[in-house]
Amino acid sequence: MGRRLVLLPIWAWLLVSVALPVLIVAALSFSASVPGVPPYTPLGAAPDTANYAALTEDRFYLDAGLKSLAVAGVSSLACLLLGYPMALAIARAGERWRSLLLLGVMLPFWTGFLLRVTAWIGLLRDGGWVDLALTSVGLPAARLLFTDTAMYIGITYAYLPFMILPLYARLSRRDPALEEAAADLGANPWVTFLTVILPQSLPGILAGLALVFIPAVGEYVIPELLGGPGAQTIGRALWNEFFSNRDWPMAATVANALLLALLVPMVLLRARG
Amino acid sequence: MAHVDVEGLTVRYGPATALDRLDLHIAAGEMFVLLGGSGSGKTTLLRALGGFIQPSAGRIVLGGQDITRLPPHRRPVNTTFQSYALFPHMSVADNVGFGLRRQGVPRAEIATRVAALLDLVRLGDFAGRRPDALSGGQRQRVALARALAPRPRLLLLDEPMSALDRSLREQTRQELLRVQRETGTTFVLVTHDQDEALAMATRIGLLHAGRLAQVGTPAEIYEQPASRYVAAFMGAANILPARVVQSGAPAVLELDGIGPAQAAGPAPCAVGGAVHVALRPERLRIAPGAAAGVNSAAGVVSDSAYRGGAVDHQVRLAGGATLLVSRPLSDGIGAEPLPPGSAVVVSWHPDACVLLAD
Repeated sequence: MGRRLVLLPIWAWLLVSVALPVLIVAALSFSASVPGVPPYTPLGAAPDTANYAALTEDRFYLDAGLKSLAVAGVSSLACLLLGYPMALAIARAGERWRSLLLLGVMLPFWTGFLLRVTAWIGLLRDGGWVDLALTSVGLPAARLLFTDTAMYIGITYAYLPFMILPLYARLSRRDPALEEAAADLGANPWVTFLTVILPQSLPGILAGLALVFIPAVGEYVIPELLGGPGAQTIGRALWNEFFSNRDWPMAATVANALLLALLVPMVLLRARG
Repeated sequence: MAHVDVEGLTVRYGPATALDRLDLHIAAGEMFVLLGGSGSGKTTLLRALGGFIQPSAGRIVLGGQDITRLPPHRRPVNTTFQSYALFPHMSVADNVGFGLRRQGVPRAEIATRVAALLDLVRLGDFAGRRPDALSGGQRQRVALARALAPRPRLLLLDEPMSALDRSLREQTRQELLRVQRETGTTFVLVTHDQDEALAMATRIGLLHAGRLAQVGTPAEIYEQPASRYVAAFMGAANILPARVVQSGAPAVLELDGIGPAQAAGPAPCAVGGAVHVALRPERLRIAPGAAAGVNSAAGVVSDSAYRGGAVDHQVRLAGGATLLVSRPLSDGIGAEPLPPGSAVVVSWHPDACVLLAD
């Protein structure tokens, strides 16, 4: 009884902040768009599956969804490749350095997200720092801003800490004796990494990939500010339905589809252990 | 040239010296035990042999090859770690085969050799298990098989029995000795347990403060300790100051607080010189009575304790010294300790009175 009482605030919080909004959005997706305030037919009255039909009939949404999955996939792999050596270096650093380096990983959170993404515009634009650095060493000028590359750079930059932290948590608990044992048995440092360190950090890799991939799929701000107009991600599609077209039910339908697309594989993965 | 030659090996950690110009020679096929207390440098020496510590000075030669600067993965030396350090994400067979895969041994040969090694350590039925599904003793044997697999020229064992139950240790000792005999590998075993060292070693190297206090067979170390430190470490509870009364062999001494005694050997210094002697508790005889002479002293039991296989008596002698006398229960006197206050005579054979250098 006491245990249930302790859990009560958590359930209340989940109900208000997760279950209720999800239900409202779900109900919204079955209503129809009408001019006026609010811009939809009453929730629950005369459920309408037209929005879901539109979702499947129009390739626009499918393409946007696939593009988002690809963007999130490439970005989370980039985060993994960049973040793994960083996490390993932090885990191997001395006691004093470790907290300093971890602070460095978290430091960007002290500045607004939007501000940091905007700062990348200054870095990536024609005549910006990256461009100047490239041309000053004789390389051709890079047209980066408003390209997919800029979008990937932005997402990788923004989500890197979410990769580093779970990886670090895992790698800092590794047993150094195992690495000594591998070396003792003839494994050079690279083989030791592949056969002992990497397999043991697999749970950290999966956690990091999930933490980056899931929010990156729905990311709106970075593709909008850094990406090209052709980069139609699901996040941008959703934003446009909601704010430009004022089609709340369609926006809700896209949001629901996205939620299902992410949730179903996650649940299946968990069920498999 | 021995199989392993350690010459002038020095390891410093900042201002602290863990190993101080250490020389050691180990023959092929030995079961050499490095014995010492914590901080004696025994683990440092083992790690230096394994390549995990770079010495500040000196060299290590294995089978004629200078391996001092070789990293661990290029040394023909393998280790069983104190925590065993088995790879938790691999099966027992994959753990044992790890070193063979690094050597590029063909798959089929790895399978045969791993199976043979698992049979050697009596774990033939456990090849597919994960380490976390094994008992402590089984893990220890997997660690042994894994370290033996690459056929090292030198096998290092770091406190192999320290994580095992007391009842399992005796059995594990026998297993280690059997495996060592069957493989003919040179073993260097680190321990802080003098019983373990005495029971297993062909030779013991007793380390103290980064130097070898004595190297010798178990009998040599036990019977002829080179110093007061060695005698005390090997369990000689009675170490007494004495004066030389008559040099020559055997020497005659005047033991402080006890009286005259014959020593086992010649005196290390002239008449009148100060020495120390060790009188091992189990080499002393105790009997009710009051008459004392050479090699015996009268006293009163001040304390006694039943120890299972023996009875320990603390005896305060008439001369003022206190001796610990350990009487085995096989001598027919019975298990009953003599009660405190009993008048007794403690006596010994001259061989039991061992002269010690400082």
